[in-house]
Amino acid sequence: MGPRRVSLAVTQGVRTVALVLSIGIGLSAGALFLQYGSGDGLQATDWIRSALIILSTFWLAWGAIQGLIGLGFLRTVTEQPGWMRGEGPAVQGTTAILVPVYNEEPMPVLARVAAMDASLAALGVQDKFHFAVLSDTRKEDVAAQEREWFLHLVRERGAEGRMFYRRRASNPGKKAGNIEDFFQRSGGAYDYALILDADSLMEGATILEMARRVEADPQLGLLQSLPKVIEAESRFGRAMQFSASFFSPAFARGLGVMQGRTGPFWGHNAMVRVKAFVESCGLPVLAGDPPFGGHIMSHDYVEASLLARAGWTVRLDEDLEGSFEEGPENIVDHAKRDRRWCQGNLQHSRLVMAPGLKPWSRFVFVQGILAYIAPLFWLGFMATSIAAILLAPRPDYFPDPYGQLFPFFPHNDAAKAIELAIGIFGLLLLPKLMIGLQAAWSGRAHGFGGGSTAIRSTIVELMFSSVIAPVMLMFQTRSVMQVLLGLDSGWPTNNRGDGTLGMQEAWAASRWIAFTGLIGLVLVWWLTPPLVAWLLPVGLPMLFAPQIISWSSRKSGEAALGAHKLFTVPAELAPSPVILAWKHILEAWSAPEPEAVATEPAPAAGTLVHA
Amino acid sequence: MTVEGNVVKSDAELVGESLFALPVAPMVMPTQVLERQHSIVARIASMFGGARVGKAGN
Repeated sequence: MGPRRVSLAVTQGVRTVALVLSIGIGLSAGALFLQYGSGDGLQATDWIRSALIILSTFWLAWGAIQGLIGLGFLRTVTEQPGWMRGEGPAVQGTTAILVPVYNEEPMPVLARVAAMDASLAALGVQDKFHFAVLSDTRKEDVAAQEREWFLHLVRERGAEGRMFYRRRASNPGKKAGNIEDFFQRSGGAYDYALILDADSLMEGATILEMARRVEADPQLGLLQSLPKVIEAESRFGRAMQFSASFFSPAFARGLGVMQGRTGPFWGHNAMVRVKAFVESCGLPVLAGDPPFGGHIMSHDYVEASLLARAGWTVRLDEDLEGSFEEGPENIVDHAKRDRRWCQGNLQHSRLVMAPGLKPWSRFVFVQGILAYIAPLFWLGFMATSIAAILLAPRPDYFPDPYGQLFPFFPHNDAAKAIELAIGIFGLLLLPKLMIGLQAAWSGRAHGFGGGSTAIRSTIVELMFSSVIAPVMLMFQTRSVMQVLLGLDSGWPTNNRGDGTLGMQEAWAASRWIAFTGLIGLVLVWWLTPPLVAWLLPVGLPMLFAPQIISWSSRKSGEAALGAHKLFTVPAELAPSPVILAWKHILEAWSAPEPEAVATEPAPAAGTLVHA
Repeated sequence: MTVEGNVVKSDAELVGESLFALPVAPMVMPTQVLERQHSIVARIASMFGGARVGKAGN
């Protein structure tokens, strides 16, 4: 049952090899750079740049190796496993399916609940799974709609006693506090809890199988599924959707192998054992003000580490198909979400040394921090490179004025720099290309429109992600700087739905990037013209950030190509039944009769209680 | 407890609003210790507003 498990010895072996290789690659890159820099004698700037190269390359290598390890352990599923048809032993325990909401449009959210409930009912297990809509909505008009649509949902599904709605009077602790409040009041009624997000959607068979797996392993405290992004329509959204569906399983498998029993929790589409979670995951409020103090923002990583500290297994089973979420449709929405995650991850710097944590949990915190500060290393490298040229000593062609007949020319080690650049690009491209080739060879590409479409999508995704990388780098840099300056991001609602951005909006959001790119390129051209060519791949996307953001937020217009459409994913070619059911319900609920919903008297048991 | 149409209000506890009230089955969720009282990190953090040291148990 589940993905092929690896022993602790394998996990530790793989971790060691990955770490040693990554450090080795980082040090080699640093040494190569020093050779390049030694042509005119080693300056302080060369040592600084070498250190930055070591850190950046280590980080790239770590990601690449994780993907390659995952590829090695990945199993291509050729036929649908029995559990996806609901086959398997009965589940004894009762599960609460928690749907935290916060100002989201209620109808699509509750239509998802209806679809998941129908999916569970089709397996005849709906009585073992209760839904709790846990609202932290602050907007009264949205809350009123939540209540209306919830009553509609309960009536339509005949779910009295199986579906509950609760809205907190205030929302301390945000999502983590919302979930904690549920456990403190009602946790004792359930054995397991499936924690979702407002945009989560899961097949009944997947939910059932997760409950089976948690029940089958008494040490399993948390089981994380790998949610696939669905319903993306924009160029950016579809590229992300393809990436999450095509590349992520290999990276997740690599992560799973290396994490062993200390797996990840991504905050949603995961099932917890209530006893384990309640005993281990009561989060303290950190002293001081946000961003570093206050409630823990990226609570999921912390909860995973606390479960592991208490001796529970936290596991990622990436083979669990039928787990979905939605993603941002444009770069600006992505950056907003990233800003929140950045603050949460940097806040973990206070928790790295928390008592009793497993070493791997500490490493995960460090990784999360590195994910946001690594771009700063590249930025630092570019800035130091400009400084290096400005500060470089004049070449001395006659270092020995008395015993030298012919001039001495410094070594030109440009070849070393080119080797280094090729190596770094290799680390970026190799895992994805390998995943693409493996998919074409193994038949996995069939779900992505066939071998040629999957390879085409892979190449375009690589090009696209290279173009948007400098724009993302700037947003990330700003996020880190804001956090370090003590600015709190708050808790903005995720934008879900059409995210098309006109040039005006894109310009407003990214003109500072365009100006930075322009000023940077002009300065470099003025100060050190030879560097301009090297900086163009970064400078040009920055200069055209508004155009890139606006263009990528629009639909691609490739719909006519059907299965051969760029970035085709299995969820488009053969949508999961729960996705189809959700769309069907959404269509039915969107039909012009919401007034009827609003005016129908609530069933007696559905009385709204202000307690 | 007050009643306004379909809305029943209770002053008992600040639960908020509920429809089809959730089962009452309380559990104690002990607050976990995440910062060492005398660690270097806690001391540095205390310079920026103090590091709270949690105690096991509510």
